[in-house]
Amino acid sequence: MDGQIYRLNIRGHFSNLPHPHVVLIELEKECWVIPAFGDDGPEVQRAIRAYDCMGFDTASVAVHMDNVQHVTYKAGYKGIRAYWVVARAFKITKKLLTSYEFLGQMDDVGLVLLAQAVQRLAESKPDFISPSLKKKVGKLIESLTPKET
Amino acid sequence: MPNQLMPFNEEQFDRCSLWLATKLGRPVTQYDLVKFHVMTDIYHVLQYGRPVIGGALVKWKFGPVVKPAYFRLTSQANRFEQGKTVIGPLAVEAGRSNVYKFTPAQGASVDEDEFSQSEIEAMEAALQIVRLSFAKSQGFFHEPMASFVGRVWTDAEFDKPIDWNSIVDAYDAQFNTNHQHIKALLALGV
Repeated sequence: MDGQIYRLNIRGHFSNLPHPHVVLIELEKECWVIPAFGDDGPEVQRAIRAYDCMGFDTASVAVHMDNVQHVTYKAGYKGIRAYWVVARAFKITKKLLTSYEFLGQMDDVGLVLLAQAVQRLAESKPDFISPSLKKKVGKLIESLTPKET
Repeated sequence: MPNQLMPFNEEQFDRCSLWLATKLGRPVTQYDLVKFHVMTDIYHVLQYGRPVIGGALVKWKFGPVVKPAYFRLTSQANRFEQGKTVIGPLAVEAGRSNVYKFTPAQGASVDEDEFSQSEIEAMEAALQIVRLSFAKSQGFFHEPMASFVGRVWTDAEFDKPIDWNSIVDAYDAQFNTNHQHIKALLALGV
């Protein structure tokens, strides 16, 4: 399921509007997902400043991405420039995740950008991620990065 | 009004419940487990702006509760009563009245690598609340003068979701701290 994007309702944010969430790591019964927010709202910038106060590497808190370049959407959707807020990643059960609308698929380049941001974040704030997830992120980068011959 | 920052994750609830049942040194009850969940999420939100397990906190008679967590435990107790296999890492025993005792199931063990250090710290803080006597615990969860959680519970509407901002404000008021940065994260919802 790595790279699959679902549209989850975010309760408490903008009248519970749905936002895309990409699966970065697939686990046995859960997925570790990262939410995206359009880059035209002030909330993300405020959140990035908040993470700065908390000692996070602000350059890695969120990945600014042109989704047109890295996401293949199902018919009817077009990508926008957005922040994938890596620092807000969370685990959700597959059962619940797949009950939401499937939006599209992120390419390997996009996934590697997110995974590398997670790695940098974990270096600046080691308590941010579990050792188990950290290992899986490392393996994901390894598996998606083309080998030099 | 952010009242659910993350959907309830039953797998994470089970992992955290097993952690508690392993650490506490006695069988845990439904009350212990739902309060542990509430306090783990509260302490982690205060530190990182997001919960560990998730789900909306609502005001119930015995304090704040995340309903799907309570119903998961009730369902396990019902399965036990019906002689069916209990799902999850905890075994169930009958206690007094409608209280059930949960212990680590045979072969179930905690994998600490599944938790981040921040999650472990939040659970350790929540463990201290679970260790309170029932009377002290009820004070903590109900009395506005006893704790920030009691303050929030008193001000909330019965059976309605509790706004996370009110929890942050009540904590700041009790401990004279400033968690405005956390409120900036709560504004992202999730």
